[in-house]
Amino acid sequence: MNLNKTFITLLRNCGILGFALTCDTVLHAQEPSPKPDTPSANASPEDVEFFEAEVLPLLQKKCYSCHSHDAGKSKGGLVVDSQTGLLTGGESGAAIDPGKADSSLLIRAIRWDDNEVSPMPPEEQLSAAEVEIFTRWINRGAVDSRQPTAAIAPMQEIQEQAKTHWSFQPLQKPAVPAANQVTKSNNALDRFIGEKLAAQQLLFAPQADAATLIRRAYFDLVGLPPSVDDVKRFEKAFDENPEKAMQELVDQLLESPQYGERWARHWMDVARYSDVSGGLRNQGRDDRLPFAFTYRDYLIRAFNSDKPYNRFVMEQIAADQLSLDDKRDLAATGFLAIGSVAGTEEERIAERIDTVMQTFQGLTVGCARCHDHKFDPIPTEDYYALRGVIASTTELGTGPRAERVDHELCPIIEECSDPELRKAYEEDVAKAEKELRDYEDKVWLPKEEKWRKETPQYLDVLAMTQKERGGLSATDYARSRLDRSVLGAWSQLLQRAGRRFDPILEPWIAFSRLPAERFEEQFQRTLGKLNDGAKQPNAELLKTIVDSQPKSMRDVAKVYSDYFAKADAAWQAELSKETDKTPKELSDPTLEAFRKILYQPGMPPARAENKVRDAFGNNDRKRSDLVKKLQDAKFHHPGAPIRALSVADSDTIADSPVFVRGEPDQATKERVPRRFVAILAGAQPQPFKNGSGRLDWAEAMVDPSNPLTARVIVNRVWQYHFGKPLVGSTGDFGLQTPQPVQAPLLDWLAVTFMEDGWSIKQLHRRIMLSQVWQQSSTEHPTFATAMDKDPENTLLWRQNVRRMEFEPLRDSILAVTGNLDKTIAGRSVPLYSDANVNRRTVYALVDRTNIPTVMSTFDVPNPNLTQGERFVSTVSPQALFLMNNSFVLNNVRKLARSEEFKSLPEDSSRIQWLYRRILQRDASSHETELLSRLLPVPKNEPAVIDPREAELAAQIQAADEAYQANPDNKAAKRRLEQLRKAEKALLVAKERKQKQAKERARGVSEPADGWEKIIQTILMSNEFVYVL
Amino acid sequence: MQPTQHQGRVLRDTKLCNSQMTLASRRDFLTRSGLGIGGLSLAYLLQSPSQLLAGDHPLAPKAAHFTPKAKRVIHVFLSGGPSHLDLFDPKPELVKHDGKPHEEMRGVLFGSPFKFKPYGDSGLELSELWERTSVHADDLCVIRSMKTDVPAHQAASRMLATGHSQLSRPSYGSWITYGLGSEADDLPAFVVLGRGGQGQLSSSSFLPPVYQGTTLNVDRGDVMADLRNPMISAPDQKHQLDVLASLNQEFLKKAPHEAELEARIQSFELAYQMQSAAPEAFDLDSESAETLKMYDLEDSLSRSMLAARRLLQRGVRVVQVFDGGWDHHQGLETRMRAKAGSLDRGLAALLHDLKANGMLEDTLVIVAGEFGRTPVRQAGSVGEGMGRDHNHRGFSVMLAGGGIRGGYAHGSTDDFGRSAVDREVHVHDLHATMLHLLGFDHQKLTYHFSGRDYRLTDIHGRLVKEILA
Repeated sequence: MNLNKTFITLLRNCGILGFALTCDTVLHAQEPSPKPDTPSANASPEDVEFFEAEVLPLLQKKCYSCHSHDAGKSKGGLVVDSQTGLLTGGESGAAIDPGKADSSLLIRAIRWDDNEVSPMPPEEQLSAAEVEIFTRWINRGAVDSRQPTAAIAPMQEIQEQAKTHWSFQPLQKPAVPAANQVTKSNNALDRFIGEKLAAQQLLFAPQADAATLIRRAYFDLVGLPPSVDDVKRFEKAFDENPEKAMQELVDQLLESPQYGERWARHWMDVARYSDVSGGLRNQGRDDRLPFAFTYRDYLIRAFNSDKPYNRFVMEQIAADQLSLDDKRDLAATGFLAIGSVAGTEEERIAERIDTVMQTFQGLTVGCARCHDHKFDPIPTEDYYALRGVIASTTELGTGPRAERVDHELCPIIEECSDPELRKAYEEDVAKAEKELRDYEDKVWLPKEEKWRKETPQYLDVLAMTQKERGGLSATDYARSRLDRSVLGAWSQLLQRAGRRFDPILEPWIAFSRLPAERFEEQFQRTLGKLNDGAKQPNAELLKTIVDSQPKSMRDVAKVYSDYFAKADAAWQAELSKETDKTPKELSDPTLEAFRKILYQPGMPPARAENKVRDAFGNNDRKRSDLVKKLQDAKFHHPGAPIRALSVADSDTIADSPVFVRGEPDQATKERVPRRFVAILAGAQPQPFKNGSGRLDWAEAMVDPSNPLTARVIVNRVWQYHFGKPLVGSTGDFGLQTPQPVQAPLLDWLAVTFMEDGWSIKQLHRRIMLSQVWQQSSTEHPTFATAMDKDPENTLLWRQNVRRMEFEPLRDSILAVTGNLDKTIAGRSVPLYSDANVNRRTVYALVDRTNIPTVMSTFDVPNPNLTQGERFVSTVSPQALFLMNNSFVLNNVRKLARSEEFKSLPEDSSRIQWLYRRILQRDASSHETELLSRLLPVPKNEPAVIDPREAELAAQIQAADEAYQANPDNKAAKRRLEQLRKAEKALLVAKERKQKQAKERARGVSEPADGWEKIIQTILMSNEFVYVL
Repeated sequence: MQPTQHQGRVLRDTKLCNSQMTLASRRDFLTRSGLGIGGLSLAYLLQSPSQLLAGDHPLAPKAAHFTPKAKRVIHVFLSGGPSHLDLFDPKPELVKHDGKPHEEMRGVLFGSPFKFKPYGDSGLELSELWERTSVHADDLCVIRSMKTDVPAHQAASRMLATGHSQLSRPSYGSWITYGLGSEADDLPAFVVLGRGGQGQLSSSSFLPPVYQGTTLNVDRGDVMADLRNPMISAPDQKHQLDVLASLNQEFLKKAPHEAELEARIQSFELAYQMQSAAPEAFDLDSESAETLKMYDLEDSLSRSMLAARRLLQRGVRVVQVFDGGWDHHQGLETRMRAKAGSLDRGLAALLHDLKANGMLEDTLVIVAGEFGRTPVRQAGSVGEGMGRDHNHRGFSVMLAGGGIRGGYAHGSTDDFGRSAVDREVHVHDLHATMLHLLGFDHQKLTYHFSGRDYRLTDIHGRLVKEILA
């Protein structure tokens, strides 16, 4: 069953269990024990200490960049990241001779005084103290405590091995084995499985019964249980003609719209689906992905329409470059855009490359970002060939830097069809925009005006501090008491002008470079240079400066300030003129140039997003709320147009350099052409031609000669029909993954899959109409023997017992309690936080930054990373969910209180009804009896009466008799009246108590009645959650 | 590739022999060992007993690489970045130059308003804010040369909790539980108390979800989600589960070979027990009057510390206690006094308590925030309102118990306490050292994911031997 797979994965992944060996340890286990003459064999703690504290940091800092595996460099053939590397040495021989520093090549090199040896490190000589450390270390025996790094096969060797690795072999359709004593089936799958079984003298399990088969089929294809009528009908048809009945059942389920929902969810594990982009860079910003659902809905449509898988791959990588029948399919590239934006830009790019390659090719290319892949034939260049593609692609509307993520960049794929909703949407947006603008203006406009008026002060501060050209120091800011971001903007403007000629600012730049104490002395020379330059500064301005006879930069600043004031005054005058049209500019070109600096967006005192943010700070709750309100209106409103979460080619498309050790500041000069990975592209990989190259990339993957694409997907599909895949690691078909036992079957399926037009639905049919899929999971003619020979069921001598994942479990509860809302597609719903949401689980709003506990409790994979397999754990919190969670309790109660249920006679026939409804079968008498125990025992004893009440009643009766016997007896009459009064008082008190009890009970959940307990018990049962 | 194929074979063989144990033999084992289900440690049964008996249950207690000094961890996470200059790192030069501008740091120097003095036989220097905790000075180790990568709360907190400032990576609590399994009877193995530790800071990321941290609630309402059914009384629920067990036994006849079906039956029994065990662990009133007096039960941090001790006592592997409010940009003196007052009382009580229960020697106590603070005043803060800004270049953490060298201060920052200068310890190094104390070589505690072996320390980390006892 699943569990086995889980623990195999665990074992494989465990580096901690004694028997689960990492590659390193395996290697060492094969090697003989360390040679006795290695210097570290009997190292003293002091020597180890010295090595680690003094020598190792030096090696790392000064030598590793050219001589280590991590850097991917071994200049002169030498690596120094292990003792072996040093002892073996490079082209010139051993680098060290333990005990003999003077004759060690390393020492001779770092001393820089030996003509026979190249001086090292070549750029900068080590200090005498550093040389001394190495000398002392070698003389003391060169103790080296580093873990010997696993011998990493150089890339060439790996590439050589890859030539014979099973998954890289061209796909060929293997001959179908002959029928044998194990199977007479005509189905090829059964022949392949049967051949392996026969070899082990094992048999198939018998075919499962009809009820089991239909439940299994429903679980596999739609993730919901059949109704009891479905089961009855199928049993009948199955009796008549099992083959035909199965065919019809599978066809019917494949046509059901719930099929797409079930299979989209499988794909969403791999596609790391989330409705929040997540990541630190979006901290404090709105990082929701309001249109993530368009990708999910694309998946549902794709599965339902049996989109050929090759097309499915193409669309997810490059839908924007294909002609689409349905505009909504643009959202297919959400596959790329939906990934996390956590981490640096390079980490985002790496995530995209890795996810694409793991998903479609079963290759872990991400490893090659910092060095050649250590196990697979993926040299670093391959990674950077693909990096060029992703770096030339823009994820629309998920941009990490903007305060407000602008989803308007995402193309509209569907307008809201309800005109009233649309109107409401437009009104809401206008209102939210105005509210925000008004609020900002209140704070903002006075500031802007103030900053403009303060221009002379800003210029004055800049005139005092700008001479160093490095911009402003903190003290400058502190001294100025001016606005930090505005001052920064002025400073940046001037720095920019220093790099790019500006006729107005050029004189400022030139004069500000003069040292303050020699300003007057050098003024004329600078003036001359300005006049003789290739580009002419503004003549009028320059003349005014000269005429003012400035003695310092501050005097120059005054001239500028005057111009700014003049320009501003002229502009205000222009604005106050009463004309029809708003003025566009000033007629005086010099003044207009100054005005622009004051008013144009992006200029120092003008509005800019970062200045607005600074002006309000991050703590302005009111404004954050208004920003969020605007985003809500624009993108989350039910009347808002629906946009595709998608990608497009960037404006600039470029090949990527290689970043040495993955560090962007260590880019090589040469760039790697955008192309596919060499192992799959052949000896001479062709550069990608179309735009960013995504289309070429996708085409390369779906090329029929690609050996991986079909193998990877049929393996994934297989896993969801048997609980475990044929190849254990669905995302890693590399050299670390040995050839699967069922390799011929995998190849046959892959080739046939392509012949079937890459049809996933046809693949389901092939699998589900086979003997191997239909066999029993629980019965077998020689169960014990088979268990003994193949406990993991690798050979598939039976079907596996599987436990429903969280999604079908939750959906099934909704379905059998009659509460499932079968609406297909649409915006995500917060069903993890709202126990009353009745949509299928595939529509859950998933926040990858805040994963609900129930997801991890039920092994739903973490949506930050692509995950092709699910763990299966059985833990008590899962039981607690079914015992106590309000989702379960609410739905149980709804069923118990439904008209349908209440109309049933209140006896054990209700249990029958529930069994048919929930488990699609009749309850046995034993089961009925067991569950009946949860019903309250019928009460036959007389109602409990307050003893005082009884006593009083007796007294009244006696008094009444006495009175009747002697109606003239006044005492008897009085006594009777008194007693009657007491009776009345008692009644009033009783009623008051009952009322109080009722009030107390209000606010407390009404206790579950017996029927609710029965329903819940059936939902908790193993039979409900396991699929046989 | 020879080694890879070899590895594959080894794994295949191993997994075959490890799953040989059929249901019958597991039952047999239980009977022969003379242990009813109840006789075994609940931890063994908590999740999936049958798998566990095969030795490969993900939460089964596991052996470390070598004998661990510490068996469990409590980390008081001072969230916000506590000022090392006012708690741990005495800077007389800074006090001397108080009020003077500092060009490079762009601000005015701010000497600590708190006095430092040596405590205990060791003479470990601590600030006066540690009035009660200083009694334990000879058990305490302060690393004064810590550094981290980024001076932003979220990034630095993730670095401290997961070893990576941005990407989704497993938290150290998940790594430790993955490495050592659980000894908790009927409680989660990795518990988070207080606000702010949810999400990425206690995430299992790519490790199996079973290693995720569980947030328990000390303060009010339910201890954890789904622990109580408001619609059914405990005896009634027990009765209901008995009926369920009988139904499941019936169904088991259909699939007698499925160990997992039995495991799931068991999980309901344990779930039922958990409903009382978890609140019991939080029933602080059941502590002795003496203990209760030591902690300040009015104070939420103190309550968390006491609850943490009770959890550790019950076999919980890792407890993270989150304490927010250490981000003192303004009003540092007053606010530190209040914050440290509550921390000091809680921590002193915890240390005393752990000692009294004989647990300090194998419990690693960590008091650390995500970074420290600047020696200069927060720009714009004056007088009583003076505070400090974030500082990732140099800060301090305090450790005790579980194989830690007591009465020792490691490394140092520069004269003003801005940057670590001597024997710098990066957060990765702290992680490496924590794993060492728990019995792991940080380079070998790995998990294969996405084509490579991942570690808590990734490609970094160095064992800080000097702080080991």
